[in-house]
Amino acid sequence: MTQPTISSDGNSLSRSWTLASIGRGLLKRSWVGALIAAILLWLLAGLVTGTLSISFLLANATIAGFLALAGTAQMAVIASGPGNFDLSLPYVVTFGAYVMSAGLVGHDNIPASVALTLLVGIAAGVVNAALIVRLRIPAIVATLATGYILYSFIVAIQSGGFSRVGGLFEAALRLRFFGFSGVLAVAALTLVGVGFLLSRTVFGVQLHALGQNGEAARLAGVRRGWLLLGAFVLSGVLAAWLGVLLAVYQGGVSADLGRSYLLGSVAAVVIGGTRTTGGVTSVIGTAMGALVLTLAQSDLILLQFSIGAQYIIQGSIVLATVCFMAVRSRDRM
Amino acid sequence: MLSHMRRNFMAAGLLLATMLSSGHALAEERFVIGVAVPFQGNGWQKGFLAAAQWAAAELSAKGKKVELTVVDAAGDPQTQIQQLNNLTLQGVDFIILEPLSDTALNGAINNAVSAGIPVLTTALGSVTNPKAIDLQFDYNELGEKYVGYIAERTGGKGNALNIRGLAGNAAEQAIQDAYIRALSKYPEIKIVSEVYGDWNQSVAQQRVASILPTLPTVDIVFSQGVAAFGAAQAFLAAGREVPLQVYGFDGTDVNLLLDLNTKSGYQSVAINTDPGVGGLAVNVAVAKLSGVDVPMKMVAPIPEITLAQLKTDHKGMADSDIVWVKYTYDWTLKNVIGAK
Repeated sequence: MTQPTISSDGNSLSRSWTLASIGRGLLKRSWVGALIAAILLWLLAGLVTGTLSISFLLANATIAGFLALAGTAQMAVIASGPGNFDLSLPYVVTFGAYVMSAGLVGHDNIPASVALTLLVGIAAGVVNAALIVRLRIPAIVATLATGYILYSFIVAIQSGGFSRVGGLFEAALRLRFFGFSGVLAVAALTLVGVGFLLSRTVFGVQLHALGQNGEAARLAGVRRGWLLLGAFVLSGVLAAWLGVLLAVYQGGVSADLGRSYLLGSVAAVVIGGTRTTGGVTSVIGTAMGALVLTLAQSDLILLQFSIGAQYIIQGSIVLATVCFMAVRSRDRM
Repeated sequence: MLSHMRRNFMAAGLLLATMLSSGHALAEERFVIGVAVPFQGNGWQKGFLAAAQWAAAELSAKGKKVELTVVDAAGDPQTQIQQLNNLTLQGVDFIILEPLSDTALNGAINNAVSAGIPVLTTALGSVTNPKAIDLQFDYNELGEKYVGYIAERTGGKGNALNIRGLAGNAAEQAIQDAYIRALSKYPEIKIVSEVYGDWNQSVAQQRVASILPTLPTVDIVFSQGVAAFGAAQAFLAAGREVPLQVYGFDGTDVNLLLDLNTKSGYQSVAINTDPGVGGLAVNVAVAKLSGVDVPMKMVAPIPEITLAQLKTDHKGMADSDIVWVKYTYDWTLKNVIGAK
């Protein structure tokens, strides 16, 4: 586990490069736990089925890619401060998928459909941020309200009819190279982009500062309103993009498309080591968290657990992670 | 206090006005039927309403003027209770109800029935109130037809992947039990894996895709409702052939089946609980209002639509549409109500 290449980030440059310090540095990374859990779950699946299958891992990674996008969208909002969650996320995902499939700007004009869908995501983010910043409504209430409004849009657009996107876009997302799917590559690229935005730009640094201590950030000249706008727009765009990918890759849409992504997105963020009170994020961690959740689900199916036991175990995984993180952060104080 | 009384007077006045107007309506054979749907967010419900409206139009053309008053509870039983009470106050002649709860609506049904408005429950399930007329699908018939078709095609053997619906749902369990009962005749059909698709196309697809690499050859997929499309897409995206499975009535399902048939000669049928029950319900309502002796419990048929029928009647249907069967009034009288 102690490969020097993994820990070669900015933080450890100043330290002396002994194997022990690298090991310690690695263990401090919040997502290492999730990575180890993912590997263990993969080995467990191998044990159950009798073969350690790369294609099983990649199939689960493809599905985890969708969840990771939802998780990252949620994470951008969680980062902005204590108690901030985006409950409109599943509705943005579903509405985005419908906008993509409805052919509002012509069924063959895929770039325009994608652009329109992303615009919808931006609009959802702007409305959320406006409610929170201008009217001082708590994020949970504001995003829930936006979600309900979006749901009525979903019902309306659904009766207008929709059809499969298909074509080159679908073929590209379903393209498989040794089991590595096109849609997984697209999801990974998106995550890299978001990771860059959150860790290497002024916006990202200020967002984290705001989440860690709002008052200190304000005194330091950080403008809360604009940052919240950025966080919610980022969340909306990512959710809409997820809607696009799901609609095209899965070949169909339904009104409950996004439903599983509300709890799933929060769970992936938590397991990935992001602090739920804001200020600390990890895109890699969220991706790992999504992979853990997906693999755990598959393992439980392979182990032929009853559905009740499956829910209990999945809930316990999230709960145990939160407890572990709470204990660890108390130790540090 | 005074305002309270005035409001009561106004309500009484309103009630009187609606009673007068509905009495007037009955005189010239005009039936106002309240239709309480649970939510409009899916294709099945869209088909249900379309079928009800079609039946109403057919009857109107034959001289029995039928008007539908549709209310949508947006998934909330509490809203549905209020809507039922409102329909009763409006003085509709009959109420068709897709109940969002098997117990919560009992009081509102009592109100309607004691106001002389018959209530028929259908589609979503029954209620425990014995005063409601009940028109339901026979899941055993669904299981027999569904499993029967697959067993006939495979010679009664093969490895099956079973995609269940929403965990903990009563209808889900009833459908599953019916499948298992029907399967007991074919011990050589083995269920090699079972996943829950939550009656959600996307979830079904992801759950199947995630365990697909670990599965041996899958000859058969059993599923409920919308999962068939999702399962097929999971196999296609993994570059595997789509196993034998029965399809639903949604446009996505029908178009996929037609597409698979054109590409590789793939054969199957569509068997589903039929949204056309909406039309049946309207026919039953009009029969009851016309004085026909309607039994308290009736069974709606489960249609099986062959590939040939789909090709001739439903080629080029929109993905967002759903197939439903048109049941005429006379057919309903003879086959569902059993009138002499």
